[in-house]
Amino acid sequence: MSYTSEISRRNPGLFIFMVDQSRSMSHKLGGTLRSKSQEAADAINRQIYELIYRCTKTDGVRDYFDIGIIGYGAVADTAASLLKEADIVPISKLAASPLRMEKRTEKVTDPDGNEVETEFEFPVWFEPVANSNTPMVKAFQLAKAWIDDWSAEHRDSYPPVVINISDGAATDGDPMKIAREIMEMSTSDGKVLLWNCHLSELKGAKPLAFPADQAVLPRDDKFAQQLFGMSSVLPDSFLSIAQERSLDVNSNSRAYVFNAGLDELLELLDIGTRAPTENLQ
Amino acid sequence: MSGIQVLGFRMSKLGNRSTDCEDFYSWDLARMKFAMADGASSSIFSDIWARSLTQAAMDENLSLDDSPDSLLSSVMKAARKNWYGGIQWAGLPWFLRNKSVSGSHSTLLLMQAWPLASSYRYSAVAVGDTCMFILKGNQIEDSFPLKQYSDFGNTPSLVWSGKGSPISATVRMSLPKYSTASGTIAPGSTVILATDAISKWIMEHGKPQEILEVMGNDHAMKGFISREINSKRMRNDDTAIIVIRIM
Repeated sequence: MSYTSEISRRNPGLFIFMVDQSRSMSHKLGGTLRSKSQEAADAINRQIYELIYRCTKTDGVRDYFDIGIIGYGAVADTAASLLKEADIVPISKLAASPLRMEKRTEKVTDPDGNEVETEFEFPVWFEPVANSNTPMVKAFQLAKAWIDDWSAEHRDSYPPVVINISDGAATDGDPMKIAREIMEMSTSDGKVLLWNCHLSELKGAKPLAFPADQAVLPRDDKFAQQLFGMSSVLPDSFLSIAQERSLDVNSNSRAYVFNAGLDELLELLDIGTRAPTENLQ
Repeated sequence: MSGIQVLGFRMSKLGNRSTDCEDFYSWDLARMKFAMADGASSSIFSDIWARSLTQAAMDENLSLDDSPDSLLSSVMKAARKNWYGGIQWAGLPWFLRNKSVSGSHSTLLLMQAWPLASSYRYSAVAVGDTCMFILKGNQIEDSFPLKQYSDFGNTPSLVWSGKGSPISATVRMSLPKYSTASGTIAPGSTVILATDAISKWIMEHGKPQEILEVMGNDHAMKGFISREINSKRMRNDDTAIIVIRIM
C-alpha cells in the first residue's frame, strides 16, 4: 500500500471528477463576484487541462489516465456521466474534443527578462450549471460502481482518485458512509484517494489547503467538518515531493481545500522527471 | 598505454517505443570527448533538446579545458538553434502549442580526457543527475556529481532550452547550476557515464560488473535492464550508458 505504482500507458491511473450542479451552486463564492458553479466549472476545466498538459509528450497526448466525470443535481435527484462517448474515457479523447476554445492571457517572462502578457487558447469542456437539488450520495454510488469495474481490470494500477467539487449540502442523505466505503476500496498499490474541493459562500473565511487538523476549519460553514472528514490523508509518497515543493503539509494533512484550488495536489503525482517550476510560467 | 575502448547503449523505458527514448549520448574518440543528456519527460521536445545538447558539445572548437561558463553557454546556444529549427511550430494542436511555450529541459554531463605519460587527466561538467563513475576493477573509486543513491531527488538541476514559439525565437538563457570535477585516470580503469536510472542502480547495488559483463551485447543488455526493472531494483525509465575502458 505505497502509492508508488508507475503511472504509464500500460498502467494508467483513474480520475473521477464529481461536480455539484445543484441550485445552491448559483450563489456567489465567499468574497468574490463569481458563482460557485462558475468556480466549479473552472476548477474541473483547469484540472483536466493540467492532466492533459502532464500527459502531453512530443508525439501527442499519452493515455496515462482514464477520466470519468459525474454531474449531480442538474436534474432533480440525478447523478450521471457528463461524457457522451462512455462513462470512462482515455484522456486523449478529452484532449481531442473540447466543447470550445477561449482566448486567455498569461504572464510570461520574455528573453529580455520582462514580464509580458501573451494570449493562449484555453479549452473548455464544461460550462457552469446550477439547477436542482444535491444528490451527492447518488454521485458517490455511481463513482463506487465505476471504481469497482475499473479496478477489476487494473488491479496493480495507481489507486483511483475521486475529486468532489461541491458546496457540501447533500440532499439525499449523509454521504459520509458511502465516502468511507470508497476510501476503503483499493488496488494492490493503495486505497482509493478522495479529494474534496469545498466551495463555500462564507464571507471573510481564508482559503485553506490541505489542513491536518479540523480545528483550523471555518466554524461557520457546517459542511466543512463533513467534507474534511471524508477526505483522504495525503499518502507518505506525496510528502517528500511536497517538501521539495515547499508545500505546507505533514503526515496528517488531508486532501481537502476550502475555497482554494486543488492544482497543487496534481503536482504530487509522480509521472516522470519534473522540470523546475521557475522555468514554467 | 594502448588507448581506450568505448561502448554505448540506450533504451526506452519499458512500455514505450524504442524511438521514444529521450536519453542521448555522443562521443568524439579523437578528442576523447563524451556527452550524455537525459531529456526531462515533463517537458515536450526534450528528445530534440537532449540530442541537440550532446551534438553541440562535440563541436571541435569546444574543450573541457574552457571555463565551464563559456563552455556551457556555447553548447546551449548552438543546441538552442538546433532545437528551435528542429520543431515544426506551425500547425501544432493546442496541447502541444501551449506546452511548447515552456521550452524543453535536460540534464547534461560532459567529460573529456587527455593522455599523460602514464595515465589520463580528465575534466567533467555536470548539470543534474547524469553521473560518471571511475572503476578500478569492480570497485567504484569515485562518482560525480552524485556520491550516493540517496542524493537522487525528484527535481534535478536541468538545462533549459529557453521559451518555445510563439514567445521567442531568440536566444537568451541563464546558465543552470552545474558541478565540475577533474583528476587522473589510471590505465586499467573503467569509466561509466550513465543517466539516472542506471546510475542510481549502480550506487544502490554496488555491482557495476553485472552491467559491464553484458555491455556490448545489445540483446543481453535489454534483457538485463528489463529484468532489473521488472524486479523493481531499477526505476523504469529511459536509460543511456557509455562504458570507456582505459587500456
